[in-house]
This record gives sequence, structure tokens and C-alpha cells, in this order.
Amino acid sequence: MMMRWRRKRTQGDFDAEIESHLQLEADRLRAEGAGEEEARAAARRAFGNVTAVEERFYEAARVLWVDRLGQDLRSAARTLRRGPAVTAAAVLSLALGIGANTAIFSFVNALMLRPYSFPDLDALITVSELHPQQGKQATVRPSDPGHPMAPADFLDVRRESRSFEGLAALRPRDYTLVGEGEPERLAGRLVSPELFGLLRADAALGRTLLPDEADAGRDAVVVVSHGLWQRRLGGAPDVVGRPLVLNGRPHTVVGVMPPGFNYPPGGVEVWAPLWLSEEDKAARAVLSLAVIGRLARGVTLEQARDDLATMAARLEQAHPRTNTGRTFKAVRLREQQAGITAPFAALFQGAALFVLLIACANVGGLLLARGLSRQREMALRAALGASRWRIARQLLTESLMLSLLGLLLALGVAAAGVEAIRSSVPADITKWVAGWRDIRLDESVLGFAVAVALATALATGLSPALGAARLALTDVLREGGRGASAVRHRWRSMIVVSQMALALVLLVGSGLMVRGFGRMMERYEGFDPAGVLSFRMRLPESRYAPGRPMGDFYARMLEGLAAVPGVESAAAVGHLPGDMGPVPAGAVSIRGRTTPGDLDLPVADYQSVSPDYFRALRVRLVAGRALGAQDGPDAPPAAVVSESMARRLWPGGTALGQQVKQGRPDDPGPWREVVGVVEDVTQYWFDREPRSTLYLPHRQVPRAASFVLVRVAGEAAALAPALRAAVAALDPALPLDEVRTLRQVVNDAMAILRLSANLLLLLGGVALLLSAVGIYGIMAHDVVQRTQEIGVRLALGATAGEVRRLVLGRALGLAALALLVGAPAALALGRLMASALFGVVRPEASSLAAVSGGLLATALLAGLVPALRAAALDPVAVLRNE
Amino acid sequence: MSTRTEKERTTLLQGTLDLLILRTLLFGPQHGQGIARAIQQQSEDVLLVDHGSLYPALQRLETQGWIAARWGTSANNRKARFYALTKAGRKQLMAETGQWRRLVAAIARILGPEGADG
Repeated sequence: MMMRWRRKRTQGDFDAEIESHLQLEADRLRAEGAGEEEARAAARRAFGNVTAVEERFYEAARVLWVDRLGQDLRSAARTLRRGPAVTAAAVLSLALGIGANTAIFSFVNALMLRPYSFPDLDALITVSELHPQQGKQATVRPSDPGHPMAPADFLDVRRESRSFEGLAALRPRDYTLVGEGEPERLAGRLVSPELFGLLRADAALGRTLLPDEADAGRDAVVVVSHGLWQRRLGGAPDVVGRPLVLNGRPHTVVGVMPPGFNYPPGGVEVWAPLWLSEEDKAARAVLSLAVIGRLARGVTLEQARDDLATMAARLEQAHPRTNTGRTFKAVRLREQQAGITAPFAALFQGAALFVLLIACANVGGLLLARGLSRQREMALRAALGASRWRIARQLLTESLMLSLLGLLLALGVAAAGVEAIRSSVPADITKWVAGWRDIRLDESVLGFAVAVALATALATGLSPALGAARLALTDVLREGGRGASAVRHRWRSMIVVSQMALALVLLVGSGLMVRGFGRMMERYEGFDPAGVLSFRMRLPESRYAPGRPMGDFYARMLEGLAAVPGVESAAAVGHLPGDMGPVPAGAVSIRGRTTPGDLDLPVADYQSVSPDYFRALRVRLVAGRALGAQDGPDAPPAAVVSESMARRLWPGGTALGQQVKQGRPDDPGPWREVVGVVEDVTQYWFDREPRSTLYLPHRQVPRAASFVLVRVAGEAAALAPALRAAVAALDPALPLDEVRTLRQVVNDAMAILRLSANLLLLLGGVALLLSAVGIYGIMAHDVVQRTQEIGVRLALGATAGEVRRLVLGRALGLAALALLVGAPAALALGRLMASALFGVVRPEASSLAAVSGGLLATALLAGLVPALRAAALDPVAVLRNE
Repeated sequence: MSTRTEKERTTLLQGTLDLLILRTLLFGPQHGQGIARAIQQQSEDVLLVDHGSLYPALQRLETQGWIAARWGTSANNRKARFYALTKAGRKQLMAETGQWRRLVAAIARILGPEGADG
């Protein structure tokens, strides 16, 4: 290309040449005796249209390649128009491939590349503390702000660290809003007022919090979310300065955040100042603050980490009892949820890429077949001087055109896909995922789509181009198109085999996902979620004193609920199993067993349960007795442990009769006797192992916020109004939140897993379909190419059955080769998925076998029509045609 | 578009016109008008060179590196752009001539001796 440009002539130079030509011609005519005027006119006439020639010069010299591209494009368009059905199929499969990739990328883009819209996002760092013990029962959750920090440690780091422009702490605080309409529970955070400045986020209305509002007595102010302002405050522009009664205490609204403000994730609607009591400020044992900071200008994350490591060492020396082995962990805010999103993103992007590859292989095969059916034409062109590169370019142009058409369609597919995925996950789950609400097809996603389309064009055009380049063109001419068949077969077979292998990998992956999902559902069937209605309740501490009055109220309420006609049993529990929310957990001490330090105590989830809990959920008793009505506030303290906790703490022994206590041995709480052991209940679907759970009698350890579970005889949802009425009869100001059936709870919690299963299944199905088309295509083409050979075989006495077997055998051979290639890859993917998806799924020989069988059947089916066609050939007609 | 038919005619002529141009230049550098004139005369006016094809053909041959061009002065003292055969062009001419001869011979064999079908 460069050479041509350098040789470029100017328009003026060319004009001069034409002018000289006209003069020379006129000279000649004059010499033959013509007059001056006549000679000039005749010369001009003889030359023809000067402008047209100049135009031609322009095309030929200046933009030669554009001209050729134009030819290629026109020729490609002609070819594509000639077979509209095939073209449509090709465009459609490319659209699916490109569209799937684009849709998945829009998620990656929104959730991983820019989950928050804060300026200079990469400077925002979350800081948390780790100590050796904590890893034991820690689970990753989308909502988890990492492990929190002890307030005293936070204050030390904030005071001494030079790496940060500033640090802010957050502590969860739920609020009950009473006012016009139903009482409502709001998710809120107590935050250091500096938080907003560090995020560089300002209020849309009014202001954010002031530093001195973190002092006792001045903290009755709140900043509210845009959603809350619209929903409960009527969107009034004069809302700033208005009173708002939260948890029975009047607060003043000082500002409204803009609609997109999503920190921290989880549907937070109220931000109030965090003030730390003197006791709080000295607390080093309890990790209760989530911490975020902004790196000081010019400081890298690595420097900040070194700085924090030094601080941790200093704190360890100063406070060995609490801080031994404790370290700080600093993670970019942007990457905080990557632990959850990255495996899914990799899985889906990988699956979408597979589908695209299969589509590319199909379209590539198609182009090659088409190119080969024109091989005589191409061979002729090559003989006449067209270079192989020129022929390859022709194929590339065709593939480019197909991918660009596919791209247009793909954008529609992607938009629909994004919408479908987004709406299939309930808002209760997605509110925990930062960036979810901003998923859309924006410029960067479009750029990605275009890049994918171009790569697709290259991948699609390249294989047939290489295939075409391998043809010995003279052979093609000499042998009338049959000579190159060996090369062609090998090439196309390779394409089909890789296609089927990819489909195998995808299908095994989706099969794994579906089985994993099914197994999760079964796991929850263990406590029988059918026919159980649940709702959430929080007693305001202003009216219900912690301790006995709270426990009494719950007991009375459960009695009232149990009396509602249609209710079989009613129970309360601190946290709903199967839900995604956090369960309070802590250390457990065993009487008579000493541990070297505080941090070496075993850890368990604490669950306060009412007498009917195990019955309502049908949790099986393994040993001893369940907690019952006898475990009242005045009865001896009792506890029940989960099977895996009993196994972990008393391996080989018995849990029954042992004395345990929440927290450290010298903590003020009572020692409790273990009276029973129950089977494990899965708390989170992504737990690799059953959690240790310590069940406590709700009346002895009442919790202001609890979930109420009601097992009903008939349709669970229909009973909701009656239950509301029963609660209102006791206290009309109590909100009933999140009224759902337990099955719904589990379904919602596993939405992302279900979505994964469905998505992979869909992609796998598309892959299988595409590869079936691929096999059919190659077999059909094969039969046409081998018509003569088959005719000879038939003429020599081969039976129709033998011919059928010949064709089908080849189809099966290809499938078998694909299995050979694909099976190890599928197993590798399975192992990868098992580790990415928290061990929920496991690669299984049975699912591999099932998918392999399906693939072979598909190959057989795809080969059937060509086989029948081959067997039905009339040998006489075939041979005469030759 | 009307340019299409023109273009097709160009493609049709391309191979032969290129060959004829190269052949003409074998006798020495010549300008465009001279080349057209020479082809016309040598073919005894059977072949009329379409100037609309001549210059693009010259351009193409120059791009391929088979001919080289520079401005000079004609016999009757006109400024003109002269084309000369390059080494590569000479080789190309040999190859194309051979190919052409084979083609013509083959076609002649198929068509049979002159006048056989008349």
C-alpha cells in the first residue's frame, strides 16, 4: 500500500499528460492536412470523454484500494443476496454470538469496571481487619463490606496513617419510620461525616453531614436517599429542615442524596452521623465498623498497604491480648465485590465466547463451502492474475459484511438480553450489587461490540481464506473441482470437530450448573420451605425494653398467630435460613476447656429460636431434645447445637450435657447446657461446608429484630392479611416487612444461581443447534461431492444400507473425535466452575456421559438426511451425468 | 450505474491491452498518444484503442512496476510523458506472450483449420 501511495501522481500532472496527448493528436491531424480548429476538435473527439478518463485516473491512482474494496463489497453483496436463507442463518448466528458477548460485557463493564460513579474511583480503598480465627466461619457475600474494624484500631489508624487523605467509618443501623402510611423499616448507616467528602459526593438538595454533627447530642440529623424522599416525603422541595421520626426519636432532614448515590450498596436510605461513646472508642475486641478511605495524592495502594502493615505490627505490640495476629486488609472499592462477580463474569463471558466461536466456525464453514462451489471461477481468476490474497480478501469482505449485519442485529439481542437478565434477579438481591442499576449499553459497550464484530469477521473469514489458499489451483482446473476435496475435507472436518467440542464443553458446564441448582433446592427442601410464610419484625426499643418484655411480646404474638385459622404453627428466629442477609456470629466457649488466646475460640452463628421453630421448618432432631416452652426466661439456660458444630467441637464425644457460653469464658453471660443436637440447615447456598450454629431459646435471648415463620395448611400467601391483623391487634404501629413464602426467599437468594443455570443452558442449547447445523452442512456437502463415488459403489453392488452406514459412520466419527477433544476440556471447566462457585457444583462423569450421548445423537440425526439422500441415489443416472 | 458497463469492458480488455502496451514499448520509450497510434497502425486499424482505457492501463502497469514514466519532449517539440519498459516489465511481457500464444493455439485447435466451419 505504501509503495502505491509514494508513486501517487497529482491531478495536475495527469491533466498535463492528457493535454499533451490532445496536442500530439492535433499535430498529427494537422500534418494530415486538417485545419487548426478541426484538428483540435477531432483530437478531442477521438480521445473521448476527458472528464471520465480523469475520473478513472482518480480511482485508479489515488484510491486504488478503495476501488478494489468497492468491487469486493459489491461482489460480496451479490453473493450474500444469492442465498438469502443461508445468509440469514449466518447473520442470525453471528448476531447471537456477538449479542451474547455484548450483553455479558455490559455487566462486566457496569459491575467490575465502574460499579460506582465517584470521581477517581481507584483511589477509594476499603480497609478491614483480619485475624486468624475469623477465616473459619467467614463467608463472602455481595453485601459483605469485608471484615470490619475495631473502633479503637480505626481511630488509631485514622490518627497516625499518612497514606490516606482521610478515613470514614460506617456502622449498620436500621430505622423504623412511623408517620403517614404504614410503618416502614429502612436500611440505614451511621457514618463519619467525612464520608461524603471522601467519596466526592454532594447532596442533591440541602447538604451532607457536618463534622461536629458526630458529637453526642447533635447527631439527630439525617441525610436521606432520593428514593425515600420521593416515596415517603412526597418529593417536597422544602424537605430540608423537616422533622422525621425514626426509631421513635425525632430527626431533622438536612439533605437528599442524588438518585444514583449507591454507597454502601444494599438499599441504604438513611445516613446519620456516627458518634462513638467513650466505651466505643476504647473497644478493640469487637470489630464493628466498616471503613473506607481515599488515598492521599501520589500514594499508591502498595504504599498504603505497607503503611498499614507497620501500623498492625505496632498495635500488636501495644495490645497483644486483642491484636495478636491481626492484620489490615486494603482493597480498592471498585474491586471489593470482584470476589463474587469475577467468577460469574468469567464463566458467562467464557460461555458467550464459546457460542461466538461456534457461530464463527459455522459461518466460516459456510463461506468456505460457498467459496469452493465457486472454485472454478476462483481458479480462473487466479490464472488470469488475481492473487490468492485477492481471493482471500474477497472472502474476508464477505465475512466482514456478515458480521456487520450481525452486529446490527446483535445490538438488539444485547439490549433484550440485558433487560431479561436484569429483570430476572429480584431487586432485593441486586440492591447489594453496586453498579447493577447502571447496567446499560453505553459507548464502551458499543465499542466492545464493534471490536467483537471485527474480530469475528477476521475469525470467520480467516479459516475459509486459509482453506482457499491451500488449494492447488491448477489441480482444481485440471480435475474439474474434485482434486482439492481432500484438503477441503480435512479443513471443514476440523471446523466441525472443534465446534462440537466447544458445544460439549458448554453443555457439560450448563448441565453442572443446573444440577448444582437442583441440589441446592433439595438442600433447602431439608427444612421444607413449602407452605411457610415469613415476615420480618423489629420491636422499637423505645417501647419494648430489651430482655424480658421483648421475649414476652414475641411469645404473645406467636400465640396469637398460631390461633389464626389455617395456621399450623408459628415460630420466631433471629435470622432466616436461606436468605442472603448476615447472621450474627461470635465466639463460643466450652466450660472446662481452656484456649491460649481470645482469638482461638471456636466460632458459631447465634440463632435465637422460639419453641416451635424446628417443628415449623421440619428440622430433624439428631439427639437429645428440641428447645421448647419449658425453656422460659426463668428456666435454666439451655442451647441446641447443629450436627456439624457438635462434630467439630466434640469429635468422637457427645455434645449433650456440655456447658457452653457465647463469647469468652469470663464474659458476663450464663453457661448453657447443650440439651439437643439438630441436623444442619444450609444458611447460604454458597457455603462450602455446613456452618456451626448455636441455637438459643428466644425467650432467654430475645432479639428485637426477628423473622417470624408461620406454617399454614393451605395457600400461604392468602393468609397474609389475617396475620397482619393478628399482629396489629397487639400493636398497630409494628411494621410487617418482607412478607414472603420461604420458598420465595430461597428462590430469591438463589436467583443468581438460577439465572446462571438458565443462561448457560440457553447458550449450550444454541451451541448444540449451531453445531448440528454444522454437521448437517458438512455431511450434505460431502454427499454431493462424493456423488460419483457413491454411484460407483452402488453400481458395484453396495446396498443402500451400506451407503447409509458409510455416511452416518463419518458423522459419528467426527462426533467421536469431538468428544475426545472436548471431554478433557469439559472436565477442566467443571473443576474451574467448582472452585469459582464455592463448591456448589462438582464435575460429574454422569453428566459428561449424558451430554456425550446427546452429542452423538445429534450427530446421527444431522447425518441422517444426507445419508438417506445418498442411499437413494440412482447409480445409472449418476454415472451417466459424469 | 453506467460506469459498471464501462468497467466491465475495461476488465475485458485489460489482459490484452496490457500485453499490447508492453509489446509496443519493446521498441523504445513512447508517450500515450504514440502507443495508441502504434497499436492502431500495427493492427492495420483493426484494434482501436479506447483512450479511456489506455491511461488507466498505463497507470496500472506503472503501479505494478512494469513500466516507468518521465516527462520528455516529443519529435515535434511537444512536452509529453514518455513510458519505458522496465526489467520486470520485459519479463512480464515474455510470460504473457507465451501464455497468449498457448491460449490462441489451443483455441485454434478446437476451432479447427481456418475456413473449416465455413
